[in-house]
Amino acid sequence: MEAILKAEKIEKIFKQEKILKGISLEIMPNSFTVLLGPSGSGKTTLLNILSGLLKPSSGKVYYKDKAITEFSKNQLADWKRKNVSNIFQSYLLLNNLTVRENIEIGMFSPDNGLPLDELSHLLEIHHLLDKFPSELSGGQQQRVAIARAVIKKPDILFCDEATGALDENNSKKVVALLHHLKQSLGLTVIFVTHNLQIAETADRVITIKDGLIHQDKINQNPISAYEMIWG
Amino acid sequence: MKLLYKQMTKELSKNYLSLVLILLLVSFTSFIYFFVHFSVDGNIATLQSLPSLKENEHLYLNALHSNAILARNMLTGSVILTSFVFYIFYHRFMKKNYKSLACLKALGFKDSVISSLFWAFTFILSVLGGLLGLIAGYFASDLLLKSGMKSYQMSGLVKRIHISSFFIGIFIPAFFFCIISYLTYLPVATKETALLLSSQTDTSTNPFLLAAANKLANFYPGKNKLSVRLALRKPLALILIILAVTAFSVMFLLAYSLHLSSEKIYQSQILGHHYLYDNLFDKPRLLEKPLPNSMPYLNTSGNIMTAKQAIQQEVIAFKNNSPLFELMDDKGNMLPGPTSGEIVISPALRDLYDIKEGHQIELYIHNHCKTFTVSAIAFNAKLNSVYIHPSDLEEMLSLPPHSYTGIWSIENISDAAKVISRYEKMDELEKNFVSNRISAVINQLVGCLIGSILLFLALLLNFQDNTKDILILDLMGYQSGAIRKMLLDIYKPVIYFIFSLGLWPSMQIVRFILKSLSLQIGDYMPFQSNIFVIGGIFLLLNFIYFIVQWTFNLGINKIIKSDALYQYSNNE
Repeated sequence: MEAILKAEKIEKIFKQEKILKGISLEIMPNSFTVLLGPSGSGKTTLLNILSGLLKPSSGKVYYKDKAITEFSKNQLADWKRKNVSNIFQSYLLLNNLTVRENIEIGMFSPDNGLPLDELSHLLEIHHLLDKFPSELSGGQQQRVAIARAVIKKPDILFCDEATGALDENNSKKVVALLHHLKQSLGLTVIFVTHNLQIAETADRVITIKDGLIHQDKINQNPISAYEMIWG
Repeated sequence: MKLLYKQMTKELSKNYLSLVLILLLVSFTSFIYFFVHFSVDGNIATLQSLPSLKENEHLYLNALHSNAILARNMLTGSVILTSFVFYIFYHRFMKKNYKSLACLKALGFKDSVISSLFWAFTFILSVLGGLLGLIAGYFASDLLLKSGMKSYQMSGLVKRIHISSFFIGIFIPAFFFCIISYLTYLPVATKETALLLSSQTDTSTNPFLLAAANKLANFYPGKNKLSVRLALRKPLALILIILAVTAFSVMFLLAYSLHLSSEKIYQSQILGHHYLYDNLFDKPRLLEKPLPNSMPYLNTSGNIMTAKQAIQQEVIAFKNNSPLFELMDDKGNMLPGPTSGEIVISPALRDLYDIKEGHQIELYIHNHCKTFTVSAIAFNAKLNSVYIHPSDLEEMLSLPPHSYTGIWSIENISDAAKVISRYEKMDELEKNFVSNRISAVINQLVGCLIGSILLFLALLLNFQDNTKDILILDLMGYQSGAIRKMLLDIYKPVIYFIFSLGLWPSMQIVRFILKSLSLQIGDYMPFQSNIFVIGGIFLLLNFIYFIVQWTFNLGINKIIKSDALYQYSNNE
């Protein structure tokens, strides 16, 4: 099988400090990959580069053989709109739009997206559709953010500490949902976390340390989200 | 796209107070322009289509042109000021919404699509404000039309605007404001999405500015160093206050100068001019015997050559001062008449062309050129006139001694080709300056309003930036009075400081405007100011500050009494 995303010798320098020191990796389609590492290891920087939110200082990122690092700004915007989605730790919902509108804004084309009602039922937010983000709890907001990200059926879902602001129950729920969506929609999930338990649920765990891949491990027996033991 | 517009429009409209003030600024900007052009465009077209103009029509046409130039200059100044306000507004807005904007970019919205929202919003706001100004200008232009009818005995004046004026008044400001809104989006467009996501969303300034503010605050005497530090940390609010105070001072001084320049010119044409009739003859005559109660003079038109241009002047020559006419300086002292080789000039030549006493100037009369030394500046010189000794003029005109072309007299001389009575002369002067006076009143009004809005905006932006500080201080047990003292009252000495520091530059700006106007229009408008005007500006600034402070006191109390703290701490 061909990789859906490929990074070649990615380097990133911030204020004369090398954050990433030449990372190369391949991500297979319909996989759940965790980028694991302590704070400051460079995992979020790597995720941002892979998702086109940040340009590398050197190196290339390929999406199905197309070098996204060579894309123009407009090509990159089109790619983000059609092929990938992001989920952030702080949800980043648009406060002036209702839940329904927040989900709809993530849809590229009304014809190609998932049915909103079905998705909202799956994510248990169907009763919140007319509410505003400020009226929701953190867990609810993150589920709305997931709905916004997946409604367009992206090929890749980039999650940056998506459970970082949630309690145990909500975190388990979110991780379980992401696994379910990966299975049912054929998504490729790349999940940045420092949580070892979440890593246990992934197909593959890439550990980043000091801007380099420290370990790249295929998880032979991933646990289910509800089996995670929250420390 | 619809949802993107909904999100950002709602976010923008949360700043409704700032937007209303900006709308008012835009309205005033176009009001100044349309107020004049409704009374000018149609009538200029009508007068210019006439094969020949009567005296009053000619004067009215000049006045219309002068008003049009004044309106254009005011529009330019207001557009610059309002552009800066737009810049501050959007700069703060973008900074506060970096994360939302980054989120939209991460969702795949192109920069061109997101920025189009801002310029479209700006365009709508600008056109709306422009149309409000147009409507207000339409009705207010009655004032100028009525004064034109009364002062110039004009009839059939029309209220009409040329399509080009409509476009200039509405779309030129809108164009500049849209460019500003686009420019303020550029940092968002050029910054990488991930970096926007990790940006601070508050309006904090950079470390260099913070350090500079701290150092400057240390020079401030007394206990309020913290307040000074807080004020200096918001350079854009400070620049806005500087602009507000300067604009206010400039508008007021300009209005006062326009108003008093008419009076000053009027006075200059009375002082020392004791004759009742100015009798003009077709051809030069020879004075055979002295005439009772009269003073003969020789006149012609000539050009003073400067390095840049020829200045057309009436050249007048008379022998000695007499009880009918005597040249005087600005203190009312009698000046000796020019001797041969000397020339006495008007203050207009000094102020507009920088010709001073002792300067050598070349005077051209009918292809004859002679160099003269400026011996004095006569405050009461006839407008656009210079004085030389009769022997010099007779020589240049190749006339015999004792020639004359006019007589100033107490009685009307029957065989004169043209007689201008003192009453007619004064009436003409009056007409010339009516438009200036109306412009002055409008200037004063608009200056006050624009200055007040800018001051209000500056303090409002500062106030909005300080909401978090207000809540924290309240939490720490500070009374609202103490909070006000710490966060707002500091702007009072800041305003005083800027006023006193900006007074001289403001005066220079007004001098420059008046000089440019005088050169463009051809009517000399001297700069006028005195201690009472400066005191008046200071008092009005205090009054505006008092109103703003009172409004914000209510605001502080409202924030403290509301559950904003709860909301705030939950959102952080």
